[in-house]
Amino acid sequence: MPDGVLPLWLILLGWAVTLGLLALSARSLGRPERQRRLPLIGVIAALMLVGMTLELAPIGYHLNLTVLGGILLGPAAGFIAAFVVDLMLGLLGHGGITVVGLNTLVIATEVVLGYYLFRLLRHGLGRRLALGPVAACTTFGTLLISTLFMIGIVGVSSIDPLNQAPEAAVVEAGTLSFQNPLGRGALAWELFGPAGHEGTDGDHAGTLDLGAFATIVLALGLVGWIIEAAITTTIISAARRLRPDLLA
Amino acid sequence: MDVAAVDYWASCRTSFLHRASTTAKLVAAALLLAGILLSRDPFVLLALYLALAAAIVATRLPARRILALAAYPALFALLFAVVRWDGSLLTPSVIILKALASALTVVTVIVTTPSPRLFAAARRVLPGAVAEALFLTYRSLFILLELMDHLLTALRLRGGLRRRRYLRNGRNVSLALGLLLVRGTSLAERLYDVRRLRGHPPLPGAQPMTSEGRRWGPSDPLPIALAAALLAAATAIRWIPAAGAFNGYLLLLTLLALILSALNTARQPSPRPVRERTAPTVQAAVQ
Repeated sequence: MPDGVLPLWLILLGWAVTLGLLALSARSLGRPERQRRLPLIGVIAALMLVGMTLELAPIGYHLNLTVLGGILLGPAAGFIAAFVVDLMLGLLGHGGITVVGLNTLVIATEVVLGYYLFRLLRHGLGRRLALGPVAACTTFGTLLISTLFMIGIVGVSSIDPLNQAPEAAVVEAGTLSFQNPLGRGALAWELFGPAGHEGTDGDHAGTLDLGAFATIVLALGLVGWIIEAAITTTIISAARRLRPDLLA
Repeated sequence: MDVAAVDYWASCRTSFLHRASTTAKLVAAALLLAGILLSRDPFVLLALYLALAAAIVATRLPARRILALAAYPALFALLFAVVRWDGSLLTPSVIILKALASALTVVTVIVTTPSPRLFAAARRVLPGAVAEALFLTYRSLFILLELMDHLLTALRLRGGLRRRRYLRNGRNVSLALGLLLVRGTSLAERLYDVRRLRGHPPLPGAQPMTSEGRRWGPSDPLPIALAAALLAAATAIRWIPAAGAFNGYLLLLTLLALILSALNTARQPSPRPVRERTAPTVQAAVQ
C-alpha cells in the first residue's frame, strides 16, 4: 500500500502492532537460537528481495517468495524477515514508508500462515502428502487469504485522503485554485471546479468503492497466485533434491 | 529496483546532501512527510515533489533514474485513485501526488546515505535482533544478486532463456532460484560459523557509526531548514484560508528552484563516469 491513502490512526495502529510483534518474535527466538537463525533470516530476506527484483512478465509482475520464507524460517523468524523486507522496500521507494507497519502485517500473514498451512497439509492430515501439491496449495491459499486481509484493511480505513487531518471540514474543490492575488483574472486558472464535486455539506467527496477495489485486486492477484504457486513449488522441489534437510 | 545502483549512489558519490548527517536527513524527511500527509492541496503536493526533484538534481545524481525509482508506488496509488473516482480530478491527484512525493522523500534519503548508517539509526528504535537482521540482509543481498546474475548468464548461454518461451523460462528461473536458495543457506551457515569463531561480535550496522562521529555539521542545517520551510508553507496553506491563494506561488517557487538547480548542474563538469553494476533481470538475460 502506498503512503497517503490510509488514515493516521490506522497507520499508527499498524506500527504499534508490528513493533509489539517484532519484540515478541525477537524475544521468542532466545539468544542461542537467535545467533544461529539471524544469518538465515538475513539470507532468506535477501532472497525475497532478489525475487522482487526479477520481473518475470512485461507487466512488471515480480515474485514475493514470502510463503517460501515462512516455510523455511517459521513464524517468529519469518515475522522478522517480513519486517526487514518491507522496511527495505519502503526505503527503496518500492512501497510506502509510513505504512511499513501495515504492509508488514500483510506480508507476515503470508509468512506465518504459509508455515502453518504447509505443516498442516504436509504432516497434519494423517498421511504424508506429496510435496509439490502441498507447496502449491499452501502458496495459493496463503496469498488469497493475505489479499483478503489487505482488502479488509483498506475497507476498515474508509480511505479519504482529503480527511487525513482529524477535523470535520472538507476542502471543497472550488477553493483549490491556482490564482495570482496580484492580478486576479490574469493568471486565474481553476483546475478543479465545483462541477462533478459532491458533498458540499462537509461529507466525504465520494466514498471508496470497496467492491471495485476488491474485484480488481483479486482478479489481478489470481494470476499472480498461480504464477507464485508454480514457482514456489519448483523452488522447493529443486531445494529438496539438493538439501533435503532444509524442509525437514 | 536497482539496489546496487542505489548503494553506489549513496556510498561513492558526494553532494551537499551526502555531507549532511544521517540524523539531519531523517529529521528533514520526517518534516517533509508530515507536510505531505497533512496537505490536501494538489498544487502544494506538486510543489513538494518539485522541491525534492530540485534537491536530487542539485546532488548531480542520475535524476531521471531516481525519479523513475520513486515512481513505482504511483501504480498502486493509481488503483486507489480509480476506486475513489468521484467525477473530479481532485481526489485522484491528491492520492497519486501523496504517494509520489512520499516515495521521493524516502528515496532522496537512501540515495544520499549509506545503508549501514540508516540501519545504525534504526537500531535506536528497533530490537537489536531486528537491526542485526537488517544488516545481514543488506550484506547478503549483494552476494545473492551477484550469484543470481551469474545463474541467469549461465542459463542464457546454455539456451535456458529464450524469447517467448515463457513457461520454459519460468521453470528455468525457478530452478535457478532453488539453486540460489541452497547456496544462500550455505552462505548463512558459513556466516554463523565465522561469527561463532569470532565470539559473535556486534555487527557494524548494529551499533552507532562512530566513524560518522559528529552529530551536527555545517551541511546539516540546510536540509532541515528547507524541509521546515516547506512544512510551514504546507501547514499555512492547509489551515489559514487566506494563505490558500498562495499555493500557486509555492508551486512557481519550487519550479524555479528545479530549473535553477538543473541549470547550475548543467554548467558544472559532469563527474567521471564509473561503471555501475545493475541488478539482474530476466528480460536482460533473455535478450
